[in-house]
Amino acid sequence: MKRDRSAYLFILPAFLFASIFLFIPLGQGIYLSLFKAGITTREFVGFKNFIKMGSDPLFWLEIKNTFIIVIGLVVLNLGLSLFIAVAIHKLSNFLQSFFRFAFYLPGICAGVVTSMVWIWIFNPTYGLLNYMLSLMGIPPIYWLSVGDTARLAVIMMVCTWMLGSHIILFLAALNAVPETMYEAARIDGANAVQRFFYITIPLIMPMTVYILVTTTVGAFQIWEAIYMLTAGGPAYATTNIVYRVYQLGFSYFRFGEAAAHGVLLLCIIFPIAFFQFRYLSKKLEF
Amino acid sequence: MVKGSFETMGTVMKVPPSFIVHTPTLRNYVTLILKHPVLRWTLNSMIVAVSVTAGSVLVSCLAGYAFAKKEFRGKQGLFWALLVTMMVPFYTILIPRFIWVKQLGLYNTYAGMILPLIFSAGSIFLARQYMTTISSELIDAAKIDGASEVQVFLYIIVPISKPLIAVLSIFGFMGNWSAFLWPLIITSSSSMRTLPIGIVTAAALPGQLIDIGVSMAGATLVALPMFIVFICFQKYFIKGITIGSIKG
Repeated sequence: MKRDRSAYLFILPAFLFASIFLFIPLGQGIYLSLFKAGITTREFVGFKNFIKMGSDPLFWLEIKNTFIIVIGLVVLNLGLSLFIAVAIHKLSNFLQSFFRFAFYLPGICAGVVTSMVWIWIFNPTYGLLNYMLSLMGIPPIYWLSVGDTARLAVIMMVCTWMLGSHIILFLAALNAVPETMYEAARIDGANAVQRFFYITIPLIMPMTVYILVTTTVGAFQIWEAIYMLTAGGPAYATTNIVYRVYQLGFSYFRFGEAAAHGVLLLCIIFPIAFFQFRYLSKKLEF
Repeated sequence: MVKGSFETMGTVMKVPPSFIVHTPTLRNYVTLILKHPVLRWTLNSMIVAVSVTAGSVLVSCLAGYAFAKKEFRGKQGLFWALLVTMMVPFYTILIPRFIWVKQLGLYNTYAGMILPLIFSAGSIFLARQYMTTISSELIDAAKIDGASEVQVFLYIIVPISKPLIAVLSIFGFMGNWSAFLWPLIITSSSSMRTLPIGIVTAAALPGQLIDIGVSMAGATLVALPMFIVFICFQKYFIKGITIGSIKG
């Protein structure tokens, strides 16, 4: 095989940027997690930052919140996007594009924009959500001031950010199922429910796994929504791992502990992302 | 369904409907522009988003081309080293990168906002995927005709890769225009803020809006370029979303 030395020049810029802004910080992050570090102080403490986590009630709350948000978001998002995609994929091209556009719109806006709209929607006295609920006779809910509803609010908002692209992905998968298979099943006497469960579901499985994995990885790293809606509150009810990293780092300047939480996150995300790569890259679309 | 369309309506009709402001007015925009350096923020956002996108597309295409079309020692290993970075959460390196960039003297500078965001393993990966489909005969033929490496890249690879470059640029611009966390922590003075951060610091606290009208005016300003990009380049969006996912 012909070896081409010029290749190194082509990849040099990428490696330069990756080294300076990714590999070095990553190494420093793991190193820093072994220190009790503030703005000016730095004292080696070994694994104390990690040991301390176990006895910190806030840590367990943060883990609980993270998993509630991840599970809630994955279930809600996957269910809704599949349901909507199935509902609209039989429609005419025009209607399909219209719904795709409508659902994708919140996703293209900056998170900040939709967050501000949602803060308004969630407002207990003049927000649209409580107004709609009041039409159904439901008393006002203080969405962002109660732990459970605040988490739900975060999940709902982030769900609308992700929904559009997942509907598009499901539609692509649904449209790729050959019509002849449905016809064959119909001739064999399969009803609509059977056709859905025995043809559609198995054939869109790879896409479902892809969406499941990417949503999970994304759901572990929700920060902007929490920053905008609740700032981790009320009473830490929406503080997840990434928000804690931010809070420890930039509110309390406990850099060592913040880095330790970051390393913990790495330990959770890395295996999931690795799985995504190993198993899904074989079926890559371009 | 009803809820979904209602949310979309919510984002479209940001200027408050009648029960808040009874007559349509530009007052909110005027307040925003007079009270805050909105033009400066917009300019900052433009500078950052355009520079990061341009830099990222260039770096990614160069690397993607080498990984797709060239043979060299350590190719597999180097490619994997880049891909592994996709599995590292941004929040893991957030704190150390902040300290490091500050040590480099880039705190509160454009360079500090731009340079760290240029490398994107995902873009390199997509560029490589796309460029493996370019025929090697074409490249060899050009080389036989005496084209240099730079000429091959500029006159063959770049024109063929236009759809790729379009997708990377559009998604890059949209992502960087709305980038929030990094520009937030790496800037300190109001004049260095990007538009989304400026608007939020001016108009909102967590969970509450200081002035709904002004917030919505700000939100509209942030969203406007994205709508323009979206409407102009609609056809690339579906491609951009399905790229890098999997075959159904």
